[in-house]
Amino acid sequence: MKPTGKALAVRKPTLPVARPTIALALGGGGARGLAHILMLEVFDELGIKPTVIAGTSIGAVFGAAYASGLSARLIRAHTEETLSQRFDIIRQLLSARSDPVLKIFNFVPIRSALLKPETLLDYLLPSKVARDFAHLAIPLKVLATDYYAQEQRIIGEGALRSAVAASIALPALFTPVSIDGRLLMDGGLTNPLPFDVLDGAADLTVAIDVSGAPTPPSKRDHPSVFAALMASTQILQRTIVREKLKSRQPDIYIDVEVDDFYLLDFHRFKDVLAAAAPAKAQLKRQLARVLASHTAEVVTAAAAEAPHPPARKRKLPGLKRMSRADTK
Amino acid sequence: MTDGGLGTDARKPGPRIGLALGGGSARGFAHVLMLEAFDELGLVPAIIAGTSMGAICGAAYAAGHTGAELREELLAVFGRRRHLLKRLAAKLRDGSPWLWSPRDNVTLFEMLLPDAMRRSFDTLKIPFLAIATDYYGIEQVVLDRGPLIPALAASSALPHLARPVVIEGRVLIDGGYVNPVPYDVIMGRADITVAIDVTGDTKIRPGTAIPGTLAAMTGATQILFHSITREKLKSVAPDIFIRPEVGAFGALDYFRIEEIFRAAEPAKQLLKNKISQMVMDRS
Repeated sequence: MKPTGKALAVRKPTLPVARPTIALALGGGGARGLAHILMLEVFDELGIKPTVIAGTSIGAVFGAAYASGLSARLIRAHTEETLSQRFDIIRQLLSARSDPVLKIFNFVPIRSALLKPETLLDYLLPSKVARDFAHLAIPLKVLATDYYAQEQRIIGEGALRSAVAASIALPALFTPVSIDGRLLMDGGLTNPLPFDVLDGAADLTVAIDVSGAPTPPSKRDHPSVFAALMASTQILQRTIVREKLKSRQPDIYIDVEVDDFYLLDFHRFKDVLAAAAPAKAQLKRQLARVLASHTAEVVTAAAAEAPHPPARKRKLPGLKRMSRADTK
Repeated sequence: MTDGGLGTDARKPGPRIGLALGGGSARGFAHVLMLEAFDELGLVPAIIAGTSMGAICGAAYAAGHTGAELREELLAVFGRRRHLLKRLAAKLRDGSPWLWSPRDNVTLFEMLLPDAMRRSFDTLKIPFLAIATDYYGIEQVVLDRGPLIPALAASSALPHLARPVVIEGRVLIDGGYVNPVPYDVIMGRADITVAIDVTGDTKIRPGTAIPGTLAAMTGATQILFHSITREKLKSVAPDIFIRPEVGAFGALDYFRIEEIFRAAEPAKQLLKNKISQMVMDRS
């Protein structure tokens, strides 16, 4: 990928264009975020590219791969190959984590047992992913959390790998990442679904939520300590998204039905993708519909020499399961 | 309750004040000073909502304990580490269950909380709501009837410290996961809504040191709570929002109670000033 300096600037079209520009937000959710691959396929299949991408955690991982110019098909092949053939290594990396995590509850902090997030990225990210934000084909914003300032950091320049590493650095699993003297952790702690940082960056904003919900192992069962801990972060992130949606909404919001998967279920690649298939169909349908109507509006507006019409806002029923209602 | 306060004129009732006390574990001891502020102004909230430690303090107040009594009681338990152990030991000798797990909030509260709080919601002197989280439904549950102790146990059941509490077939955990500062649930039932957020100030603290695992996890939870409140404030805000400067304390710093009380003193003054101003304006 050649450096394309011009692609860095977020273009905000002032003149009517045939197709609206799209900003894409990919949320955090661990292994559930494998579903993002299918959403990226939608863009390839419709022959459109997002103008800008924002990603949190696993959303930053696949956002970085796609923004590097790789096709969704290539990303899918690489991920599937990695997770099927080299999964033993990843499982060792990750499963070694569960023991130390449980030991925490005996109040024995085991810092040395934490994994460097870069180690996981070495496996997950295809080798062709850009080294620096400046080399990306699509501008990317990576969300991380400044631990001491307790607020989000939007990283849009510099070394890409360390930014993505910071974005996935969930405490208790990974060591935090220092960038520019700031101690950074998982972006999901402050912004699990970063559509708001794309405000005004494009005509339409699309947000993919893979936060899921904890499901009972058997009915009315108490969750295990480990499950409860993993789920508690998930619940908090879902609450943040729910509160966020009360004050502003993306044009298209896809709540991917990936409840049955744990944060670290990377070995269930095929199952996650199968569960996300209805959400893919929903995104494709909605995107195609919005593109068609938007294009028509722009043509009409251009004919009337009117200013560029604002993107039509879809009414969102909060965090109701849109994907389910829509696909069943 | 002092005479000559703002709310003593029974013939001309002032505005109804709704008080929301947020979650924050040990940092929630700061709520005691906020309740003292009400006592000192001679005001009684028309309704109280609480999450986690806010639910425990709010329920005690709603049951008729004054802020000063609450301070005394909590100091007696947490002022010295051995006091808590002594009390637990005495309870065990009295025939409380021997096979008690430290993860069982219900039994712990049965042993520690005063008699006035071992009853039900409808015996309370002030209407009170406790917030809990439906673990599997990921939604807020507002508890406002039935026995008080299971509700308080559920509202403060941090999943890594305490076992969830099952009420009416629902697995409930700490209310902070859906509503860390529950002012929004009482806004329709009060003229003035006061919210107390005890998750600590958000001032940038210097630091680049890598925290230990446990510190990082509690820190991360605090950040998540802040993020929820920050987003909530964008869509709906209370009339008075007070955030005592207790950010320097850990969630589990129960035995630093005296320091927490001192740190919350400026917030108490601020609350008194703001409430008396607002009550004057609206009376």
